[in-house]
Amino acid sequence: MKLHYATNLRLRAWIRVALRPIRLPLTRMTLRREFSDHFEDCRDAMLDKGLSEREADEEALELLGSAREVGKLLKLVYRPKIYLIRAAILLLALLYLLPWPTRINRQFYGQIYWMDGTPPESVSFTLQGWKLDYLFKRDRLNLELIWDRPEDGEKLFPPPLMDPQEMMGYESSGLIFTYEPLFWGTYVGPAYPSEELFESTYMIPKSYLRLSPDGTSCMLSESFAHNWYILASNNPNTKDDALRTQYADPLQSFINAREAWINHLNDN
Amino acid sequence: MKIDKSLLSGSTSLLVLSLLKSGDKYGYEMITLLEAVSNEVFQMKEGTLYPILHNLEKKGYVKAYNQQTDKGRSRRYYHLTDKGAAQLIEEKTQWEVFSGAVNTVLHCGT
Repeated sequence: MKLHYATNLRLRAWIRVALRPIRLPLTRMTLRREFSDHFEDCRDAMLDKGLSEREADEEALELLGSAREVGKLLKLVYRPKIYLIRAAILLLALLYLLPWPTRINRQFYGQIYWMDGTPPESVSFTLQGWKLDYLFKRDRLNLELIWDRPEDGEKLFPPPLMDPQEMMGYESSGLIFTYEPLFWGTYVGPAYPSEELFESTYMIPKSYLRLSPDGTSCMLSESFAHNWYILASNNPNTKDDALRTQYADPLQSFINAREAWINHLNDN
Repeated sequence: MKIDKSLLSGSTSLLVLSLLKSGDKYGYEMITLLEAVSNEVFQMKEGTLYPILHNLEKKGYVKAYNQQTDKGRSRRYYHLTDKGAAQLIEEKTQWEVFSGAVNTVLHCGT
């Protein structure tokens, strides 16, 4: 039934005031519809009693009562459970701030693979930081703030590629945000499978990519996989010309270099 | 005679549950029935009734459903659940004890 314009305005104003304390949009929408229906019920009853349309509108609006009073009563009915909200906030804060015992403050031992055929070398470094993992349906949303502290910087980047002093102490690795389908790797252990990291490489921010001080090499830290890969190198010591690539696009360089390295390993 | 709100506020759920005991009703129907049965002592506004009904629905004492009217509109009806019926008995008992005690005190010494 179409209401008179003025009645419609007054009804909408009443509903707006009554629903002001309600925060949730869905609840507001439901209540708005409900109050409109109840108003029309009342109006129909007045019309059945023989009142004119104008009189029925007035009577029905009068029967709604004080919008403010109704709002106060609705607020009591629809107030959120405060203690649940506080508990949820506390839990989230704890999850974010406390170290993740299975992954943080661990000593990692890894191998450096050099693209130019130099035999791999063993290195160790400590991984520290905070990590928060959400399992969202089938996917994993991963938010990390981590940093690496190589303990054996000299071995990690032998000269002339890297000044070892550059690598000592703490470095910030930045904030990693990855969102990856779980079917790529349902197990997340101390180290991500390399394929998984490879697939999600495009999500890793460039803070994980570093140029060596002499500017000849671009490196990607696969911290969880223990291994450091030299992405690309213009170092004249690099023997294989095929591996020498420009690092203008480090991510693509990584993908190309990694493929070349895997082929290199397979051939040998 | 106008009744103080504070006297009414503690009894509203009891009144509403009682109204629904005789069958499912919609909002305006409950208000008119309440006014008629109480000889116009209880003149509840529609706006006041619905938060009460929502609260009772949240607690599981009342269940709401929609039904088409003769005019083709959807109307919201309220039904007293088994839990609501049990609550009604509980509140009615409490009221009888309370009102009996009040009457006793009022008539004490007279």
